This record gives sequence, C-alpha cells and structure tokens, in this order.
Amino acid sequence: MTAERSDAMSLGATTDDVLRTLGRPGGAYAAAVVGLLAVLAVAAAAYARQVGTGLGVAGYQPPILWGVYITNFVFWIGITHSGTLISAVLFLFRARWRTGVARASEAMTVFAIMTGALFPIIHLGRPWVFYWLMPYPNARELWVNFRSPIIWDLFAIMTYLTVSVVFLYVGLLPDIATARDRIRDWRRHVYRVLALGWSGSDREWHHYRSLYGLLAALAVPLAVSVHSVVSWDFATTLLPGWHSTIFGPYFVAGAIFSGVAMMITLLAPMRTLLGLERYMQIRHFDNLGKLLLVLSLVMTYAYGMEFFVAWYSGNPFEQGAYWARLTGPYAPLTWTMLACNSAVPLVLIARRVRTYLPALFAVAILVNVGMWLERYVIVVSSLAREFDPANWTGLYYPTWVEWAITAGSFALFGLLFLLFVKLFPPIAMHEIKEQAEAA
Amino acid sequence: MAGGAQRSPANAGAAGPDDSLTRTVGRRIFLKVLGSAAPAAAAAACAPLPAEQIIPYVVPPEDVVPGVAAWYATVCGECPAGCGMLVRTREGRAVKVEGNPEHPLNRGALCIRGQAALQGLYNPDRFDGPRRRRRPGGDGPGDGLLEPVAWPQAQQLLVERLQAAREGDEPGRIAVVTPLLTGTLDRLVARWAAAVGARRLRYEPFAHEALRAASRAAFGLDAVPRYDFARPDLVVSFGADFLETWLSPVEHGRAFAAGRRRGGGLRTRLVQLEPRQSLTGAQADEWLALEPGTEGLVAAAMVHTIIAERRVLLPRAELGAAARLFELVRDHAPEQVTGRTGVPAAVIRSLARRFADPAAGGGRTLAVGGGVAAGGAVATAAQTMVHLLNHVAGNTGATVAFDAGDGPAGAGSWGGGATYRDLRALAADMAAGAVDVLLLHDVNPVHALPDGAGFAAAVAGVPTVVSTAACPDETAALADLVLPAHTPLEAWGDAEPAGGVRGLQQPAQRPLHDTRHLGDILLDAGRALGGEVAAALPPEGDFAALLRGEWQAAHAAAGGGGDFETFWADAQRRGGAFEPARAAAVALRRAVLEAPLELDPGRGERPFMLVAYPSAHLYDGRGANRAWLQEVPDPLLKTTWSSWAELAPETARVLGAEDGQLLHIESDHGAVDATLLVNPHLRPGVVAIPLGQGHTAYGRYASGRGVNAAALLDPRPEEAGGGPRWLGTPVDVAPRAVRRPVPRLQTTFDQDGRGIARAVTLEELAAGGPPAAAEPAFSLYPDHAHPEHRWGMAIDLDTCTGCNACVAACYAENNVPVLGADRMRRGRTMAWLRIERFVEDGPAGPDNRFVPMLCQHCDHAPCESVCPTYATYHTDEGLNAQIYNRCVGTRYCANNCPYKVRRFNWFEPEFPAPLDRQLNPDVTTRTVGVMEKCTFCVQRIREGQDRAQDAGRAPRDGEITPACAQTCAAEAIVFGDLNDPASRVSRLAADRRAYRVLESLNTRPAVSYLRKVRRA
Repeated sequence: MTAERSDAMSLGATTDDVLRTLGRPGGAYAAAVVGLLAVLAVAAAAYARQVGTGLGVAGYQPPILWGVYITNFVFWIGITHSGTLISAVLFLFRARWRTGVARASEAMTVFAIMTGALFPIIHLGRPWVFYWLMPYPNARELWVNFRSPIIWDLFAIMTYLTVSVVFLYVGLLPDIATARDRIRDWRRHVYRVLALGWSGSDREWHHYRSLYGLLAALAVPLAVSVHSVVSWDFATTLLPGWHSTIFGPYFVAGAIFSGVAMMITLLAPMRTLLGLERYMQIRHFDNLGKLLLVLSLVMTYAYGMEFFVAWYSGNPFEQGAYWARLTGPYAPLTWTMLACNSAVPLVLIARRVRTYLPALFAVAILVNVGMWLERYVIVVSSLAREFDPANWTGLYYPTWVEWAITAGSFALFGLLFLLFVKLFPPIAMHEIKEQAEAA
Repeated sequence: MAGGAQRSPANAGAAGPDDSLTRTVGRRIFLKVLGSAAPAAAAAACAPLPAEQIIPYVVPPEDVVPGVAAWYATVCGECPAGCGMLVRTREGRAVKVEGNPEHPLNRGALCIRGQAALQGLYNPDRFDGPRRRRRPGGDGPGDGLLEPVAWPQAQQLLVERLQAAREGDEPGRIAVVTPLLTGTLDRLVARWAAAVGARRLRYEPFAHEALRAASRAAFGLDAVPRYDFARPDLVVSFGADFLETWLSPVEHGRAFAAGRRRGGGLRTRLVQLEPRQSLTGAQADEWLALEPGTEGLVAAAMVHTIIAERRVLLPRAELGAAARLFELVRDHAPEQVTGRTGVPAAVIRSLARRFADPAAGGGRTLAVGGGVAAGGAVATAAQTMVHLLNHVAGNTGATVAFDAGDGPAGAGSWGGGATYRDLRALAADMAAGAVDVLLLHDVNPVHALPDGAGFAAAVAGVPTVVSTAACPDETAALADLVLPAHTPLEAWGDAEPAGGVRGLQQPAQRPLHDTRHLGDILLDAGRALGGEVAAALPPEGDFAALLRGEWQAAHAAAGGGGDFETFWADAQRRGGAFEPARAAAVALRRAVLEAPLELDPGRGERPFMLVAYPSAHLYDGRGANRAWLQEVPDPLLKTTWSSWAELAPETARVLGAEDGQLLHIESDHGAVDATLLVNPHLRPGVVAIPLGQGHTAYGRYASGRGVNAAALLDPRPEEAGGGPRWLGTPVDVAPRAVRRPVPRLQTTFDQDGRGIARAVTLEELAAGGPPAAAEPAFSLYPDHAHPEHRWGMAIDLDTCTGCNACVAACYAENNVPVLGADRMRRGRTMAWLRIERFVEDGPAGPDNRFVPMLCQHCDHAPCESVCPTYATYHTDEGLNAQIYNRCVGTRYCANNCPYKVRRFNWFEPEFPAPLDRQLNPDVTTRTVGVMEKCTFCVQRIREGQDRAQDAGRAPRDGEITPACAQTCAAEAIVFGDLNDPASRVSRLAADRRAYRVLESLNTRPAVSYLRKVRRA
C-alpha cells in the first residue's frame, strides 16, 4: 500500500470507487447469497419443527432450561457494540481514522440487533404469543411485569435498535443522495424515496451535523445500558454464577470486545473483496488490533475478579459454582474460552501481527469463538450447578435443531450484511471527501 | 346396576338410587348434548361424519350432580394386603383413589401401588372383550392370533372345554389358579372348583412360604403373624422390607411412624440386617450388610446370647424350653457365626442384650424376618429362629400375634396359599399332559416364576388355557381363550385380609370394556355344566347378589341387631365391617425345639451371589404396566423406566466395571445382560437385581424394558417351606464393553454440606434442640398481606420414608403427564413433587435422608419477580400461583427457583385413551410451552373452603389436605393455615426441629421441614 494518505484522492474518484462496489454482483457474491439462503432454509425448517413439536426438540436437560438460544442472544447483542463504539465514540472523540470503517460497523450493529433480538422469541415456549411481553393496551386488561429483567431487555433492545437504525440512516443520507444522482437502475427509485429530497444545501448540512452528533451522543450511553440490562437478566437472579455485581461492566466490556472482533472478521475480507484498500487501510486494522488487545486485558481482569469474588465471598454456593466451572463437566469449554479470550489476543502486542491481516483475522475469529463460549459457559454451567445437589444430573448439549438455528442466525446476519453492501455505499463517501477537503 | 346389589357412595347420606344412567352418559356425552343440540342439524347436513343420534338427559340420575364428586368405598386390589380405598368419581368416571380413613389397616393412607390402581383400570392396552385364539385346524385362519368373540360364544367354549375335561373318570384335569383371594369370591371359587373337580391354587409370587412354614413349625399355624410396629422400642429386621412390599406395608408404615413419633426419647430404633439396603433398611438406625442367607445364624447367635446371659423373658412355666433351645443354638455363639455372617460378634451381642432386656420387661422389642430378600436355601429355618428369638424375648403374643381364625386357614389372607412347590407340581402335571383345562385369573406365573420352573413350556402341554386377565400379559399370551374379568375398581367383592376386617369392594364405575366378573363367569359356566356342579352353586342371581347374600347371612349369624339394609348401607358407606381383631392363643410346639435347624445356606460354585429383590413400585412385576410406577423414580437409586444390576463399589472395581456399563450375568439356569449401577449399600460379592421388569407381552409401558431376574434363579423350591429362592443363586458376572446407562433423576446423594436435609441427634433434642437459625428479615419490597389464610406445610423428615406414594398421588390429582423413558433420560420429569435422597455417614451405617421437594410457596418468591407476563404471582392466601394460559414459556422462573420445582412442558402432554378419562376435571391440563408446578392442590383448598362456607363456618384445621399429605402413611406431611397459631402446621413450623430449606436466600418458604432425628 503506497498511497497511505488520502490527500491525493480526487473527490470524484472516491465517489467512483465507492459506487463501483454497488455494481452488478459477481458470481462469488451470488454463490454466497445462495449458500446463506440455504443455511437459512435449514434453520427455518428446524424452527418449524421446534414450533410444531415443542421446545423438547432442543437439548434442554433440566435444570438447564436456558441454552444455546440465550447464548446466541447475548452473543449477538454483544456484537452490536462495535458499531456504536467505533462509529459514535470515535466520532465524538474526533478520531478521524474511523471514517473508513464507521458505515460498516453501524450496519453491523443494526443487523446484529435484528439477529439477536430474534432469539428471545425463538427461545420462548409459546413464541406465537411473544407480543404478550410488550405493554400494549388490550381487552384483557393485562399488563407486563416491570420488575422482570426481560421487560427491561425488551425496552433496552427496542430503544437501541431504533436509535441504531436512525443513526445508520442519518449517516447514510448524503451518500444515498449521491447514489440517487449516479445510479440509473431500479434502485434509483428507492434512493429517491430514502434520500428525502437531500440537495446538499448548507442548511441541510448544518442540520445533518447537529443531528448526527446528537445521535452519536445518544447511542453511546445506550450501548452501555443495553448490555448492562442484558447482564441483569443474569445478575438479578439468585443463581450462583449469575448473581454478581460485576456483571454490568463485565458484559459491556465483553460486548465491545466481541464487537471489535466481529468487525475485524467482517472488514478484513470485505476490504479485499470489494477492493476498498484505499479507504480501509492497514492503520485502521492496526488500531482495531490495539483496541482488541486492550479489551482482552480488561476481560482477563474481569474473569479474575469473577473468580476472586466467588472465592472471597465465602459463600459455598458461589464457590461451588465457580469451582465446577473450572473443574466440572463444562471445564473444557471454560478453558477454551479463557485461552481464546485471554491468552491468544496477547499476540497482538506485536505490531507485526496487528498489521498482518490474516493473523489479525485468525485472532478475531478465535475471540469470536471464545466470546460465544463465554456466554455458553455462563448460561449453562451456572444452571448445571446451582443450589441443590439433587438436581445435578446430566449434561446439556445442543441438538441439531439448535445448531441449525444458530447457524441460521449467522447466515441471516451475513446475508443482511451482503445485501447491505450491494444496496448502500459501504463507506461514508461524504466523510472521506470532507476529510480530503479539510486536508 | 344389574344384579342384587346397588352401590352406595361414601359421601351420600344413604344407599344411592339406581345410577345406571351415569354409567352410560358420561361427562363428554353430556356436554355433547348440551353443546351440540342446536348446530347438530346443520353439521349433519354439511359434515362428512355420519349423523349421530343424541339423547338428552330426560331424567337426570339423582346421584350425579355435575361438578360434584361422588366417592365410593372399596378395597384396593393391587396386592394381597387388602387396604380400604375410596374412589373419587366425577360424572361417572373414577378419577382418584385415596385410602379409606375408616379402614383399620390403612386409615386413609395408600401406597404408590394403590395410587396407581387407576392406571390398571384405564390401562390403554386392556382387552376390550373376550378373545379366542385361532388355532391351526380350527375353522378360521390358523395364525395363532387372538380374535374377538362374543361373550355367549366365549362362555359356551369354556363350558365345552370344561365338559370335555370332566368326561374322563380321572379328577383334577381342570386347574384353577387365582391370587390369594379372600372373602366371598374366594369361597365361590373354592365351591366351584370342588364341584367341577378342579384343583385350585391360591398363588402369589410373594407367598411368604418360609414364614408360614416357620409358623407351622413353631406354633402349628399356617399363618403369617400380625406384627405391631408401633409399640416396640427396638425393631430388628432380618431383611424384611416391611415398608415397601412385605405383607401390609401401609399398615406397617403407619405403625412404624407412630412408634417413631412417640416423643420423650422413645423413638423406635430400627436395626436392619440385609445384604442390600432396602428402602426399609434406609430408615434404620443401624444397618448391617450381612452375608446373604445367614439371617438365621445371627438370630441364633442372639438367642444364644440371650439364654447364655440369662436374659430370657419367658413365663416361668416355659423356662424349661429355654434350656432345650440353648441346645439348639449351642454351636451358634456370636463368635462362631461372625465369620460366616460378616457381623461382628460384639455387635450381635450388644443387639441381643438390647433385644431382651429384663430391666425393661418383655414385649418391648420385635424381630421380623423375611421378605423375598431373605428367601434363601435355609429360609424356613431362619424364620423359625426369628420366631424363637421373639419368643425368648417375650414378644410372642405381644408384638407378634396371630389372628384368631376367621380366614381360610387360620389367619389373614396369607394362610392356605399355594407354595411355589405347588406351582411346580402343577407345572409338572401340565407338562405330563395331566391337565386339560387351566383357568388363570389375575396371575402371571409365566413372568414371575423362575424360568427354570418351566411353567411357560408346561402350558404348551395343556389343551385349553383360559385366562381372565384384564390386560394382556405373558401368561395370557399363551391362552386359548381370554375371558377378561373386571378390574377391582369395576367389580363387586369383599376382602378379609386380617382378623376382624371385612372390606367391602364396590364397583367405582361401570365396566370400561366388555368384561365380566370372575364370579359371574364361573357361576354361568357352572350352571351351564348342570348336574352336581349347578347344584353346588346358588341357583340364580349374579355374583353381586351372592355377595349380598353372604353378608346378609353373616349379619344374621353374628346376631347383629338391627335391620340388614341399614347395616348393608353402612358397610357400603364405610367400606366394610370392622371389628377389633381377636388374637389366637399360641404356644410353642415342643417339636420345634427337638429337630436341629440347618441355618447355614452354604456357598455355591460361582463367585457371586444373586439377590433378586422386589421392586417397591412394581411389586412382583404386576405394576410394570402402570406408567406412574415406571415414571416415578425408584425411591433409592432414582432410576426410571428400567432395570439394572447392582454391585458394591469394591466389587465393581475388582471387575473393572463402571457405572452404566453392561454386565453379563450368568447362572446355571440362565443369563441376562443388565446395566451396572454401583450401589455402596450392598454387600461385596452380591449382585442385586430388582424384580418386576423384563416383560415381553405386558402392554406398551412394560414390554421390552429391562431384564427379568427370574431367568437366573435357582428353580428348586426351598426344602422346608417350598418357596422360591429369590436369594443366593450363584452367578458369574462379566462386564461387557457396552455402555447403556439407565435414566436417572438424581445421580449424587451427597448434599455437599449444603444443609438441604438436616438432622438432629436425640441428645441434642434432649438438650434443647438445635440452635434456631436467625431468619434474615431484610427486604426492599413490602411484605405480602395475607388477610385470611396463609397456607403452609410442614414435612417431618424423621417419619418420611421416601416411599413415593405422595408423588403418585400428585400425578393422579393434578393431571401430571407421563413422559416415558426417552424424555426422562434428559431429566425432563413433570413431577410436581419429588423425593430427594441424601446419604450421610452415620455412626452405624449410612444415614439416609429423604426430602420431599415441592413448590415452597415462598413469601419472597424468586420466580414471581422475573416473570415478564405475571403468569406467576402471589395470592393473598400465600399461594404462589401459576396461570398457565398467561405463560409464554421464558423458563426464567424455573431458572431463578433455587428449589428447582418448576416443570416445563417440552411437548404437548399425552394421555393415551382411555387414560384421559382419569384426568381430574378440577385441574386444568397444560399445553406445550408453559410452566407448571405444585399448587398446594388449590382445587382441594377451594373445595374445602366451599364446603366450610356452605356450612357457614371457617375451614377447620386438618379439613383441607393436598393429595400428597392425604396419602402419606407416616403422616409426615401436614398442611394447614399458618395464620392460625393453633393449627398443627403452625405449631410444627415453630418446632425445635423445624428449618426451611435454603433459608439464607431469604425466600421465606411456606414449607417447613422437621429435622430427621438420629442416634449419635
């Protein structure tokens, strides 16, 4: 990469470069879409079976009544934090390197929320009445229980989804307008509606800037709150292994950690496949690598504290739960999780690893695995070793239905992302141009 | 009701009117009439279904008030104990059985097998009418299958075969095998058999042959004594599982609990000696694993000690007997038997001293021997020695008594029963072609007898096998003619299980299928045979009329004052006629002291010894087609839907076998492959296999499940008593490289020091009891107000035996679905109530603690706050309520419940017809995807409150009982109002022994547990 700085870029070339990615999809793209659709179809069949027969087709082994679905839920909601962090926080701090990756991360946020929010419904015993979880006026004069963390979840996630969508959309507005002016196929009708008549006047830019800044400022506390609330699903219960005051910050840090890892996972291939090397530069990945490293250290500290507090509490239930986590039937998963989240990311201390994309990509994949396992271990192993030893029976392992639906969630996320990059400019053109002008 | 007798509900004022309409028009039909009258015409016009003729209730039956239950008193027919039973019927369907509180044996309690009687009635595999086997050479296809036949033809066939068998001059070419019937039906069968020249056997797999033979030898009575478990301070049980299957478990359970509850340090001490710890052994203060079959040696050594140390407690006149008795046991000093029995001499000596304590006087202790676990090669000698042990301790006539003879052969239902040897003789005759017609009623010898007895093969030598089995079983599978009889809940009858007890068995509902009463089958066949047979039988009337006639005659003979109709109605309402038992005066026979007793069973060639023990749920195997009995986990090992082979950990280690691995077990007589369960409470070198599984043709719930230990048993009858050898068959054991773990609902019995099941020693209690735990009182939320009632429960862990009767009662009352083996393998039980078992190390053997765990109805319920839809909430009567149709199934409540008592419907619950008729109409059946749990039987609370309100008063303490508390023989569960400081439950909750499980979590449960009392 020779042209490290964007000063030399002409504004027109940027537009051309970016809009070229919206061109006719190639064979690889079509194959990927078909493949993901196939996975999604299997997942749909599995889900149909689950709804038709009952949740018993999943592998639940009482007292382990939550499993992979809740793991997926926490995992996907965790992923969402990349978007807000990279885009909003860095925007507020005026970190200019965010420009190349902000759009993709915002899109990722929205799609991860959409995917993750499905899981509380998939996980329900009677998903056809999921709307009973929402407070709406009804003839039965029934209302929801605002003491239940599930209701808090619902509010937190819906709010977060709304703000994330608006944030993404507002950021997209000038670029949609550009696309409207340049793209001549059927999509222009869509762009025309979505551009809301954007003409690029000073007045519009003025309003745009204040709105975008406001939304960014709104998204950051929301991101912190949403994963804190998700953690309260666990922390407010009595269960040893869940009932812990550390869970709020611990989950938020974990969420950002997994979000950054997922960003690297998506951006590294996208950069090559869409030919965006000029905009997503190695220094961006270097920065993401540093972020990942710092977050890994934070996570290691959190794990240490979790175990320390359990030991220090003198509470035999707590001690038993954590001891079982390290030595019990789920111990291999715990140790794999610790290796992926605490040990492997230490290689990012070396700049060579951070700047060598395949290595960085591999670390990010392992962190994704580790963070998924972390949620699995928290959900499952705590339920497996709670208060009364009479209930400590068999091992929970997911059935094909759960694996299919889990794979389906990844397929859905991937598919939404693929469609997005072909329908909307995956890089914030106007910001790049703005920076180029300023330079 | 056809016939001479009408039923009378226990809760009616007098004999009920004819209620035959109820039997024809059930609830469903009634509702159809209500609901479908208007749209019926329209539906007939457009629906492809044929138009149905519907008949409205023109004259409603007076007995039936829709929505109000009628209760009928009857007799439990699940085992020979003959407990009294009340059947709750709703709109003509039996929906629940409970013990009859007026019955002197069980006083309202029932065991798990009694609770499951309903599943015998509604078993989906029952014969719905008579069947004839298509034999080659007959007029139809000779494919050997059963084909339906109408009753007249079926009766005709029976008569023809009987006639043919009677044509020869040789008598006894007809054989009738029934269980140990008592009362009118027994006498009818006997009369009938005598008239047709049939030999008649009253057969039970567990017939206590050795005990009866010992009673004959010692006292000259072919009888089983009545034991008093309430009075003795010390009970020494040589393998008698008297709380599970032995004789009359509910009666024993009640008495034993009463003995333990006496207070003032008088708690009955139980010492159990047996090779494998039974559920009864799990209640023992001292448990000793002795070498199988050496019970007699220990008893002899105790007798030796008692006589040698001059502790004999006999009347002066009998002291001479002691000297002769000493000669009998001269070579059985404690030191001499230690090596053989594995019980230390000091232990035997101390036990003997406590057993016969001149300072305390005679009749303060009790030794019981038996159960099939003590059915070895020298069982009769051992039982005789136990009788003698009781005798020298002055217990005969006190804690061991014989009923004065009303029964067939002296006393109770056990006298006069066929022995295993009699069955073998019959099998030999059958194989030799000496039997033409074999009539089997309600017995399954093909499954229960040792395979080596060759009963199944012998049946092939009988030209006509007639079975009156209600459900298909292995014996009926060999029958040429199946004439299905009513199940006990559909039949008239009476039972005389013990002296002074005459239970009256009323049909609780109209027969479900096209079945007949055995009495009517025999009466009709006998009358059709004509001649002297007809002359020996009553000329007219059905069995119900005969029964009434006998009761009338007995009433007249007893000089019973008053009108018979009043007496009869009263007997129907009370479930029989009960008088105090009269004890027979018995004296020790001299002869027993003269013949030496061989007490050492010897050892076989093979390295291991087999103990085939009766299953607390399945009994001899007859319970295996009752889904509840399969589904509810075994009380000790917590296994479900399976059988297995147990080895001690030492033995398993030597063999290199692991839990869950398949073992190949081989004796001289057969071989089986069974899954290994390592059981630390088993004598090393012993292989224990439960009886009752391994069915091949016993319906969907039983067939193809586990192994039948009968395949391995030594088929020789025990010499002196003629009983089967359930114990001591030498076997080889080889682990196979296959793992086939059995489904288990609890895998660790170690409570990890978490104080779930607590205990207190007698000394601590005497010193003022355990320190009261300081209850955390802090709460952020305001407390619930309970303006009228706060329902609560107290469970006494000292008397709870872990027998599971309450669990089955809960299944029956609350429509709890049965899931089957595959789903249980994932631990997905739906039981609202379970018994947790924990084992601690005790000073003399394992300290077993059983904790019935159900919804604790917490005042600060963790489940309530997390439910997003308010599907679970706290009522103002302190109940933690669950609204099924508001539940969306997040399962959050169950996660947050530290007691793990909430159950999730993973699938749509299934109640295969006609089991759905058992469903309690007062309890909602749940659907897939919702959570459910114990409601404290809220429907029974409401019923009690309604009854009280109708009477214009408040509910009385003890008036409202949940199903679990109702059936508990030990009365370990007490339910009531915690708002009333005078209620029993309030007083127990404030007892020194009371604690609440996981109290430190500040859940404030409404269920208090009373610590188990143990010896230091």
